[in-house]
Amino acid sequence: MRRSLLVGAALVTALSPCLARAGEFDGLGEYHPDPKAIAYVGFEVDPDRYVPPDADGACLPPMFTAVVADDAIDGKGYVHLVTLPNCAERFQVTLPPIKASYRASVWMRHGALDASLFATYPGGSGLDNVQALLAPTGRTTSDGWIELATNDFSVDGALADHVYARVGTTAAVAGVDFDALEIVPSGAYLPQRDCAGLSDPACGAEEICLDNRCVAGGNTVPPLPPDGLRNEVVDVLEAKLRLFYGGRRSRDLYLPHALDAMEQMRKATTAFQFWNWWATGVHRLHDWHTDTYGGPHAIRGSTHRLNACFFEGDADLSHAAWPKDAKYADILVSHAGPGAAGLKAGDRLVAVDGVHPLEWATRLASIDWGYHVATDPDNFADYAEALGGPYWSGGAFIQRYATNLTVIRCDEKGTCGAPETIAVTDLPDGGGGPDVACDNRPFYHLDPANGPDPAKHYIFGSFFRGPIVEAKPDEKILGLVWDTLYGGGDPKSEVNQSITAALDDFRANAHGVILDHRAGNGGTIDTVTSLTSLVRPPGTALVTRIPIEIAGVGGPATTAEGLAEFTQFQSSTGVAVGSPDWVPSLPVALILHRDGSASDYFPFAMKGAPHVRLFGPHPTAGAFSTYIQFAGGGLGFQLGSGDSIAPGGETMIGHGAVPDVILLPTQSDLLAGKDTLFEAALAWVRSEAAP
Amino acid sequence: MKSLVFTLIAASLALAGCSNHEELDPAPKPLTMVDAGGDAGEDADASTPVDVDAGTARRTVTTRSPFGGPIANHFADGDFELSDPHGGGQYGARAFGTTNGSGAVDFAIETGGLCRSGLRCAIFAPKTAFLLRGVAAALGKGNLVSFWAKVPAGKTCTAVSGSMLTCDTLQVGHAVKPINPKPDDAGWCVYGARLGASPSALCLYLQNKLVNDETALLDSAVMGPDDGTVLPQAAEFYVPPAELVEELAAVRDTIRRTTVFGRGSEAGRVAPHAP
Repeated sequence: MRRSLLVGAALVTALSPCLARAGEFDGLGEYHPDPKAIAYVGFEVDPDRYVPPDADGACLPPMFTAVVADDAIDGKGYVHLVTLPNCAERFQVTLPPIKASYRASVWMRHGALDASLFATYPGGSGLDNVQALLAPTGRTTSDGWIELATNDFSVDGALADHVYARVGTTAAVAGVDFDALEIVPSGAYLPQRDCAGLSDPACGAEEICLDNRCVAGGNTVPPLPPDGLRNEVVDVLEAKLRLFYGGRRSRDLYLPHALDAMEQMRKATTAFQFWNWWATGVHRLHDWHTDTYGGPHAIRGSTHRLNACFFEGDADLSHAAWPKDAKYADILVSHAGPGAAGLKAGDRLVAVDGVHPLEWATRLASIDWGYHVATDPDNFADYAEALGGPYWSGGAFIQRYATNLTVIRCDEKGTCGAPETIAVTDLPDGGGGPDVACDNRPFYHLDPANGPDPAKHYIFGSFFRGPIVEAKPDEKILGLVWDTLYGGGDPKSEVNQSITAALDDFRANAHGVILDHRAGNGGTIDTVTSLTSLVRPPGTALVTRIPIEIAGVGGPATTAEGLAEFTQFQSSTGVAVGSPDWVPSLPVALILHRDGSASDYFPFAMKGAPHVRLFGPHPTAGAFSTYIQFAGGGLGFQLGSGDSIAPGGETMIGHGAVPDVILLPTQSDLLAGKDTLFEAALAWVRSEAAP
Repeated sequence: MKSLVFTLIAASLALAGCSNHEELDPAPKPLTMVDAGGDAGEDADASTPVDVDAGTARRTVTTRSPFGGPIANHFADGDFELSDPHGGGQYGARAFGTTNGSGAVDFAIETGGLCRSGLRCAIFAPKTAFLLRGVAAALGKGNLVSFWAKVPAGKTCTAVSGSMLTCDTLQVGHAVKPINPKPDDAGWCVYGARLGASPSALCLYLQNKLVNDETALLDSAVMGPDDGTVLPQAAEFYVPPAELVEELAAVRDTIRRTTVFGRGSEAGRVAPHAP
């Protein structure tokens, strides 16, 4: 055997391509830094530590100890890191005062590191800080060391005030060993520069125009896998999709397109090409639960503001000025705050970079790593919601990526102007006031003292409940505004207690109920069970088959097979809904707009109940599954996985719950201060309410 | 057999990097299963270090994929490369406490060449268990399962044990037994089982008999379809111990209560840091 290995080693020299990497090991296993390294920290002496002036006091003491031992990656010294929660250690290096591109690497063992290389610039320099991800290259030693490296990153050494590796330890029994921080010149310097949206050619192929700045894509992705492993990495990642992704319809509709994108990884010549094709493939899975983590992001943030929220509607007052699209609904301003370019509820967004806003948003699948979309192909609500709103809630697509937007402004009399195109770079920053969140509710209908703040629209995990202000007190029509269904399986959780309190109140005091769930973020199934207890007798709404049960099989191929599975698994994974204590006389209206997952199951289970009516613009997201998460190697992603089976044997993934009353908010209503869906719901509840 | 092994190793080394002293491991290969019926066979995932001078070399160096394998593994993360070790989240590998209600717990990881394969493996601590999520073989095929554990010095392979469960119910279907009672020279034990066809997803539940400061390593759990050359042992009579059934009931409760039907937490997401 030993002979064969030696022969094999000889083949390495003769046949292999040279992998791009830092230093090399000699035959004795001793590491030698790259002779071209311009900075190297071997930890033979105390390292140069950096602590930002605004660091939390708890993070000030050193979070490492020096170790002298024969098993250092080179020499005799390394450090043993144990960082406190929410703290990080920083080891500083000095770069020459020139503009240059570099690659950084470190070696670590035992546990995991959250690690990046930073270059910071002083205020007034006009430059954004640089953050380059340190991720595993695949190199490892028999004594447990693994190499982390960045891709090429650019630094203006004359202007940078600090350059350092920032590291936080995780998943270690007793800390993480750290050695051989090395920085080697690599690649061509890319100057930081402004850009005017994705359509601006100012940014190169390895960059994305994000917040009007060319952002280096390679700074946030792992290194390109070495030649001999690259195809295997593609095969492994494709296999995750083939084996674990989706259900019946989502696999049929989307999986082939995703795999086509991933095949492009094999031809990639740079890390960003490679990983961006992977991210594009994941996004082409077109699933509400499916997403990539991380990816290119702006350090600086936008210097322009579009503090408005958009949703799908019927621009009934402005079709003469700009016709309706054949495929997509019109896009209207739902609500806005200060700093919204003067836009207000009822104004219309007709184009972004010259195309329909939803069509433009679909093109971000290869750009935005936080991109996701409803599984039902007829639902575009997530796109519409993400056009505006704050970046910190996943929105601000226009602010982040667009060159211009075209709007039609209308006044309260219903008079609309001509289309007006606004360059994003002309949008001023500031304007004061809070960022408005996007919840697809143009107006609220509860007592303002107890209702959501219309200046913010921050619903998130909160519940708002009370009498509907448009109804007379003796009508006893009560409402609930909320978006989360995350009960967590704990009856004492805040969510479950809020639901219980609401149901008790409705049972005792309501003649009619309006449930406003227009930004349903899903949650856990226990809330579906409890909420439906008000409106229907006990039953099984669906049988879940989640995550995916059989390798590469999305679910039953026919309704007959589905019916058999429903019967077979009803007792073990059925979604129990309803209660013997349901209230047959109580009309309950449920208003929907952008709802997914548990917020699919919930309306599906409500629909058809004797005294329930669903109001919404289109089917819900059709995300009838859960997901499996993956994180490691500098990557993170989750795949929607599994399907659910209706009592009739139909597989449900990709088929959103269809409202009983399909209505789009109209431009005329918005300008008149009316909430189209709510008005319809209130009218129905009134017509049904017991006196 | 030896000539075949030589050929495979030589071919894999031909794909390696430019250093004379580093190699690529593993080379692309299909799903490889330990033969649960007898000889553990060749170790397909083990490193094959270029040992130029075993007497004085400080270490050997290889290049391994950070994203796990083998390619068609029916475990979502049998290699422990793609699971966030923090207790939250719906990752392929999750740890649970076996006392105080069996909630999800954090686990620690070992790195690189100290692991059986890849860059990460799980550290198995006393009073914890692991649940590895998988999928059942399609087309009515049986399922082959194997995993590796490095047990503490002086322990036999029974210090770690495995059970195959249906993921939906966590009902025990089959024990996954050590192929040999004693670990190899490096302390590693291999475990295997052959199961019949299943209409529901299969999960591997791992337990240990470790105490005090003892830890084991877990790595390279692989599941794939039985190729039909050997009859599945589905009919093997297996009665899980009562304490396992009780433990699994608590884990099942945790999973059922907390399975997310939503976008989920941000666990594992890579957010930009303040510098």
